[in-house]
Amino acid sequence: MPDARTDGLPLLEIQGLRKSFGELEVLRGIDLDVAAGSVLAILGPSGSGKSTLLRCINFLEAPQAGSMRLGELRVDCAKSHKRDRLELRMRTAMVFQGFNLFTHRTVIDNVMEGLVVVKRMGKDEAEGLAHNLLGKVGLVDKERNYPGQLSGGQKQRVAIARALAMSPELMLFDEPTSALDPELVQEVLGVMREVAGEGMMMIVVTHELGFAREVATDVAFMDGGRILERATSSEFFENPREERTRQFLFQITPDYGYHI
Amino acid sequence: MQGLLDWDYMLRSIPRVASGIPVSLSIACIAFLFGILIGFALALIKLRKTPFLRPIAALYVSFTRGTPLLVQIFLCYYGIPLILRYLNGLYSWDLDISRIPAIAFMYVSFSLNVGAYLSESIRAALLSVDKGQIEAARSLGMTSSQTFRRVTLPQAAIVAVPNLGNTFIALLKDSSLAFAASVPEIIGQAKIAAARSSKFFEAYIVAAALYWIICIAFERLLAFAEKRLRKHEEGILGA
Repeated sequence: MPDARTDGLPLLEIQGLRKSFGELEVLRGIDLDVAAGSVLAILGPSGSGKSTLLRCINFLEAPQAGSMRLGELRVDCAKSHKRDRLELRMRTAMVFQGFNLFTHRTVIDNVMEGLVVVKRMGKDEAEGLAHNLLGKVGLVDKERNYPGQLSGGQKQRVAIARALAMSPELMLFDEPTSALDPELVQEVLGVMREVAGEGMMMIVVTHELGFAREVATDVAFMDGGRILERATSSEFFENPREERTRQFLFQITPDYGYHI
Repeated sequence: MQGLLDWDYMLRSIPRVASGIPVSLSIACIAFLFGILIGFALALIKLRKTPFLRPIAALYVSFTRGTPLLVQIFLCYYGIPLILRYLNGLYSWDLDISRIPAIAFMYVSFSLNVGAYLSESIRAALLSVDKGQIEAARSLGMTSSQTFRRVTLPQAAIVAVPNLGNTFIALLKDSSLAFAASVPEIIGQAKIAAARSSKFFEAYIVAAALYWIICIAFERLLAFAEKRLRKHEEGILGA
């Protein structure tokens, strides 16, 4: 199997992605390259299509046009095969705003689910792996609990462990800290920082500018279903090119102007 | 002076009336089992908006809910033999319709009836499952049937249990209508006993007591099952 991480091409390549809900055009032609090992933060006002873009990459929404390539897997969105969609989902992993843990299963069963059902791994092996991952996110002592017994931050850490268990090539985070109480945000960002530090390719839709600035290698700014500005993280925050980007940064960080 | 009730007779008639219990239970259990299958199929047809089948399913549910159970029992009891006889002639099968026991028609009519009622409970239970969890399963790479089996069904089952249990208890009591087709269930046996002794009141009190005891037992069982199934919610409720 060719190693997509070393052949110099971007690992994820999106071209001309379009998505409408009825009359409403949410994505108006998205082109996006993400290199292996990079962390891309997608910023933008609400309704700009950030989450829809993320969901399209995972085919939770089916785009009407465009193409995607992840490593050597190419998918033509308009006529994708079920096999390709499953393959794409297996090689990516999603972390949701609302955690979306399986509430009828224990914490460790949540992490094992994809391993046992999708990867057909033996129970013992899956349990060992899940145990290690829960250790990594600091929740070994909650293994036998049900999600209903956890705090929001703990739930999101379980969701990250569940996603990591699939050893994805790309992790997608859809506003992972937006549903959390403020004091629980850091524990989740901490785990994400650690995962990013290990070279995991990540796309993060977020409102956490601090996180985007510190952890993301690249930033894409979306508005009105288009990517308006794409830059390295330091370029983006220190020297945004577009007027709309400056406005946005100014709006959500009132003291932003003083940095310029 | 004679008392209001002949207690001695009541005690003596218990075994006779109780001999109808297995028949009542068999109607309730078999109809419940097939009713779940029918209800499940109807729920899926309605949820998936299956063309052609959907209007038929809607018509069937509407008819079942809009006509008395007793009428449905008679329609099956008198109608199915007629239809079989007709088919017998048409395809020259060698089927002896007179040998089909009356209880078989009860199984059919009660299954069809309870299936229509259960379809709505099952549909509501399937709809109650959190869409986010279904998306999470899909995003792990599960196929839609894996998602249905591993995520939707187990959670819908938990939601459906109280409704299914209540339907079962109602069905158990409704099974008494089978006496109208001379099926010897609890009420049928009570009638036979009472016809000989003319002690109708006593015989029916015995029948009522038996139904009550069975229903209480099932209610207990149901409460226990519900508690076990909702184990994962303890944290939420306890918080």
